[in-house]
Amino acid sequence: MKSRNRGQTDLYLVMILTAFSAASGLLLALVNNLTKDRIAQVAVEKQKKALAEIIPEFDATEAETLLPDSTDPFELIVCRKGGSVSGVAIKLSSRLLSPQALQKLSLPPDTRQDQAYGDPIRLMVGFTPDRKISGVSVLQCRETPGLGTKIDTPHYKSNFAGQDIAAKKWLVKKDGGDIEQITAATISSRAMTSTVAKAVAIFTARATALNLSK
Amino acid sequence: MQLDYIKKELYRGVVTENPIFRIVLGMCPTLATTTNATNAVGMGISVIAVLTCSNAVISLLRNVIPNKVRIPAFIVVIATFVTVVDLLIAAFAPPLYEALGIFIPLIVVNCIILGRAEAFAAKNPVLPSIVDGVVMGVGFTAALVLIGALREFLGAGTLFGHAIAPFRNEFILMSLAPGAFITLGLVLAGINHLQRSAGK
Repeated sequence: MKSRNRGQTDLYLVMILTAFSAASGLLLALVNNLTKDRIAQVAVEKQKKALAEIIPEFDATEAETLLPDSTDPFELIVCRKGGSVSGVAIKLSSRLLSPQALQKLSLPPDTRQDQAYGDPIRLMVGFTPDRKISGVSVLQCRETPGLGTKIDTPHYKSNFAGQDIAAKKWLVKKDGGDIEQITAATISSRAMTSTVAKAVAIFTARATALNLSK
Repeated sequence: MQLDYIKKELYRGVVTENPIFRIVLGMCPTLATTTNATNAVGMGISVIAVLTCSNAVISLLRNVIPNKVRIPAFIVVIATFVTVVDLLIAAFAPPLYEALGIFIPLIVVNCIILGRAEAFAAKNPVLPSIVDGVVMGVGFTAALVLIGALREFLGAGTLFGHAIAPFRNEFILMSLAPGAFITLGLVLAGINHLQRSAGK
């Protein structure tokens, strides 16, 4: 073996880098193993907390994955108390959906630009059996701090919580709807509103199947 | 003597060789993560952790790493520690993870880390390299928190999330990207001015 101070053969360089990469891989595998359960648990806890926030009472839940083939699956969670439906939560994102996905969810074609300013906004929207929105919880929001992040304030969310889904036009006022937009954060407001609208449409399409009163 | 050494090093990292205000490296995270003081602290601590670990390992292996492939070797070491920190923050500090988002993975390309590996750790024994990593990280954090606090106070009227401003007028510009450039520019100018008048 040649000393590293004299001619460094290419083989030596390759060996060193391989050793570095192998050691790195080993360490990463170790840390990943150590943290993956905890990371999964954090996500589950967050969702549980969100669910408890928007559905007042339930003792059993059953979840159904919508768009299971997608990288960003939506989820429909039916909450029951004493056997009857006490609320429905829909977990979804502001991502634009393909025509196929829209058809699958029996949603009308969506031509509006409803993407968020940063990464997709992820929401969990809760509905009561009498077709009102019981609450909205923001699971992920990467909007501009101080502007777009205001969508995750009780004040803004009160635009949605408690509203009868049939009584409102789920568009921001700028687009002719009933929902206030946040000054200097119209894109975020629009993304939030259209995502809630999407949840409303999914809920409406499913409400009959769940035997919810009209 | 030990204490003197640490004090001297700390002074070097925070004041005379501050990575942001004097060396002016790592501007991307400086501008992007200083929207408020809390994010700045989080970013600073992550950088201290990565910088200290990467300096230690690179210094330890400085005689094994051939000169020709030193940069890829450094990058492997740095990227590994960044990923470790990223996973740990995701697992144990989820709110911080959400706030910092993409900027934790981007510590990999933070010039300060590679800069210290190349300029210091590759040429010095382990202990001084660890100290260098810590003091440079502390200097980075101090600068970030200063900018973050100024921007948060001016942009939202709060400090570490607590409302302290007597006004509710939100100077939104300071929370946005231009505010970062303006604040950094003014702070840099102020520091240069102070240094020049002190030198006279």
